[in-house]
Formats: sequence, structure tokens, C-alpha cells
Amino acid sequence: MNARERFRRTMQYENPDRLPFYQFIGFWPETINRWYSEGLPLGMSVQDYFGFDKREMIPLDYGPIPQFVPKTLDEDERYRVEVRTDGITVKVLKTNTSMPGFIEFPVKTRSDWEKLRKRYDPGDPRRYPKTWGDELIDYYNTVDHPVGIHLGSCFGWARFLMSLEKLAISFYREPDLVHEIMDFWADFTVQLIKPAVEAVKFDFATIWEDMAYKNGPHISPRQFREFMLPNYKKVTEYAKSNGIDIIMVDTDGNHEALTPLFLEGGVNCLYPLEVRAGMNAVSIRKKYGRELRLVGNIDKTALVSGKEAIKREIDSKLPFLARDQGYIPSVDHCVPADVPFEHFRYYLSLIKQCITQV
Amino acid sequence: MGKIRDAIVNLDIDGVQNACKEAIEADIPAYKAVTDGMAKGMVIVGEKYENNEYFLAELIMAGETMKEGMIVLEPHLKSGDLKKIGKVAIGTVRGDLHDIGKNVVVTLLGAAGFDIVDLGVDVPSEKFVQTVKEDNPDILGMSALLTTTMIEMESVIKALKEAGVRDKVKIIIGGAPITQEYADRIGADAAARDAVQGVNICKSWVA
Repeated sequence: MNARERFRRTMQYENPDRLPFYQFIGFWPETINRWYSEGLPLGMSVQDYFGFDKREMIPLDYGPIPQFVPKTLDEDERYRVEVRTDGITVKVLKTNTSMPGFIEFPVKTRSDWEKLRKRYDPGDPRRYPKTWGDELIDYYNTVDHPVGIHLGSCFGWARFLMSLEKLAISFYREPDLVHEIMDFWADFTVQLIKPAVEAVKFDFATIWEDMAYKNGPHISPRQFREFMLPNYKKVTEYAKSNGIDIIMVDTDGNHEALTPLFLEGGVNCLYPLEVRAGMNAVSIRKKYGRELRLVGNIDKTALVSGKEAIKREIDSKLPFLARDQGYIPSVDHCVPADVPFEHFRYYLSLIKQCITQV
Repeated sequence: MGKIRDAIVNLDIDGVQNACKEAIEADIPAYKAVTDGMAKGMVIVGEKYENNEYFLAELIMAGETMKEGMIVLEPHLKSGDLKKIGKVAIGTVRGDLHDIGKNVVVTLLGAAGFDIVDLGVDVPSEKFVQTVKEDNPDILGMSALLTTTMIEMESVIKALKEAGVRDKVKIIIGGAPITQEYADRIGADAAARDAVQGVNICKSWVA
């Protein structure tokens, strides 16, 4: 069974030979750098070293075209302040220990939005790979590993346009603007993906949101229902009408209060299910049943703690989830730099045993 | 006062200024409008957050509504009108640039009547120690988002001990990876589950 068939059968509960073998969310770059000094052959990718199953995404460009001109505004020994290609001004720590601090966002007023939206023409041919055409379509349709398509981001994109604080306030002060931006996302996405989904039979689609933290969602279910749900339905219904069966949403944190709304919006797979935020894949499966596929939920902090904690974490989840299928094991976020290489190797040795127990 | 409180609770950012103006015109002292109107409203907002009626967006919006009301009240406040219930020095630890959670805590602490020394982000342990020595806060708050940066909290507590000032302050920590177990392990006095609980813990310490 090849990786593509395995992925499809796993997600459709059709008895694959084993579960897919991925670290679905990836690794922080500092983690890989650390591991080079702990046994990972220098220069070798973790993909090759560990022999993960392959998967790929069609590389569509969801960003502004033209991009903003990247430039460094200020720099010293510790920091760099720069404008990114998405128009956000960030402060970057040169130690690479933190995600950037956000200083300024491109949309401060409605007028900013009116100008910015002109950079988001879904029909711009530069959004597709230069090699887009029959040969690439044939490759995607016949390759032996799963191929996915990204559907952008509704909340996450709006947040990156205007900041979390301004977006939170705009739900109350400028609801029309929030509606406009989120409606725009849905229309933009449907138009952008049209040539791709009509030509390629994708195995899955992803939406990135990151709209929760350990205490719950950033916004209320009421706001989700009013502002996001109609747009989710528009996008997922279009994707499903073109044969995409698995619609995945990537959101950190505890999104339990929004889970029913994601399902209502046509989403049928959630990840990475952060354990420290209170997410538990076994409980979620028991509550929502097989309609909701799951990815992740292996506590990254167990991989820091040691072999006993890793075994305990896997034993508490994998036997049930592997038997039930519709689940892909993965650490519940990028593997952090405090995970020793030896711990990760041990974790994968256990995963390899469990994924065959379908 | 009830109108001001309700404007905060209902996140009525357009109505809060009118409610504040009415209070001033009725010769209600501005500090009473803050303590009996705004602050009480923020307490109810906090309760709604704890009960999952309100979410992060509402906490941010409540803070914004309060700022809008303060535009009207501030010119009428006399120095010393607002009695501070305690002083909190707070910052995100070295190596970490996240400030959304910390900023929400700062807003809620201010609403609760604390004097705040906001040290910002990427704060080295020496700066925390210096602040405890020079500003004499009752409470030191530290925030971290990542497991790889939260270990700095332990370094700060060690530095405070070495400087002989650990016992001058209560220490509260918070952030995505933080647990009470971790707080106990590194010698902090409390771990805050969320911003509202954190402020309630701080209030209990100065009561």
C-alpha cells in the first residue's frame, strides 16, 4: 500500500496496512540544529533520517502580489526590526528563541484595507506554480503520496492584517470591516483554487487559523457563527464539490468551544490538539465520533521529560486511536528545542510499533 | 455609576463616554466613577470570562472600553485620588517577545487598582532583580509562551535569591506552558491559569 492509499484509507476508516508515519506539524529549526550535535548526521534532513511517509502541498501563493518590499529598519546585536513581505513590521530576536514580536500591521484603517485588497487578485497567474499545466496535473493525480491544497486562513489572516487586539476590537467597533475581510477570504479562496481543484483530485485541504490558546478560543462561538461560519461553508462546500473529502484546520490551543462550529462549517479534521491546552484526542473521538478525524495530541512536554513519560503518553492514546483509525499520530506542535534527539528516536520507535496495530 | 459599570460589562465603547460625562455632570467624584463604576464592571467581565460567557476578544474589548471612559474621567482625577492597592512589576522573560497575554494582565491589574511597572518583553534577570530592589513592588509577575523560554523564570528566581531580595516579593508566573507544578518546582508562589485568575491571586495577596 502506498502512502497515498494509506492516507485515504486511514481518513476514511477503511483498514489501512498501518497508520501514516509523520511528524505532521514539523520541527523548530533550533531543534534540528541541536540534534546535529546529538547524533543526527550533519546536513541530513529529518524526513530522510527517520523515513517519514511523504506528502506534499500544491504551492499556491496566498500572499500579497506584489509583496511588500522587505527591509531592515533597525538592528543591533540582539534584535532586528524589519518589514516582512506580508507588510507586517516585526521585531526579531537574533537568538531565535521566540516567535517575532509584532510592531505594526498593514491594516490600521478601512482605507488601508481598500488599498491592500488590490494586492489580492485571485486570478493573478503568479499565484500558481510556473510549471502549472498538464504535466504537473498528471503528476499530482498519479503520485504515490497524498497531495493537499491550502485554503488559506479566515481568522488568522484577518489577525495578520490588523493585529489580534485590533481585530478583537473591530468585531465590536467595525463589524462591517471584519465581515468584509472574512467574506473576501472565502471569495478569494474559491476563485484561487478553482483551476487546481477542477484538475487535481486532492487528498486533503488545510486551513490555518491558530485561533485559540490554553484557556479557550480567542473569539466567542457567537462571533464564529456570525462572521466565520458562512464563509467556512462557502469554502468547504466548494472544496467538497470538487472531491476533497478531508478538510483539516490547524489551530493551537483549546478550541473545544468551537469544535461543533468547525464541524458545522464543513471541517472534518482538527490538529494539532495541544495537550497542555487540555485537548485529548481520545475524549474528542468519544464525544464527536468518526465524523471528526484527528491529528497530533502527543504531548511535546512528555518528549522533554523522558522515556517513561513518553511511553505513558503513547500508551494512554495510541492503542485506542490506532484501532479506531481516522487518526494520524504526531507531536502536538512543532517539536521544541528542549527535546533531546534520543527522546525523539525513542518516541518514534514506539510510534512505529503502534501504527501497525490498526 | 451603574451606567458606567454596565457600559463596561456590555462592552459599550460608544456609550461609556456619555455615562462618564453624566457622572461628572452629576458631581460624582471621578475616582468614585472609576472605583465604583469601571472597576466593578471589570470584575463582572472577569467573572463572565471565567464562566466562558466572554472570551479573549471580550477581555481586550473591555480594556479598550475602559480606556475610552478614562479619557473623560482622567482630567477630573486629582493626584492621590485613586488609592493603589499594591504594586506589581511584570515582564516577559528573556528570550521571549510575546506580550499579548502580559498586556491583558496589565490592563486588568490596572483596572483592579494596582500600580504597575511594565518591564516589557525579553527582560533579563538582572532587570527583574534591579526592579525589585529599586521599585519595591509587592508582586513580581513573569510571563513566557514557550517551554524553551519558561526556564528563564527559574533563573530569575535564583538571581533574586542570590541578591537577597526573593522574600521581598510574591512571585506569580503565567503563560501557555506554565503549570502550578512548575511554579512549585522553581519556587514561585503561584501559577496563573489565566489573566483573570492571576489578578484575583494578586488581589488576595494584598488584601
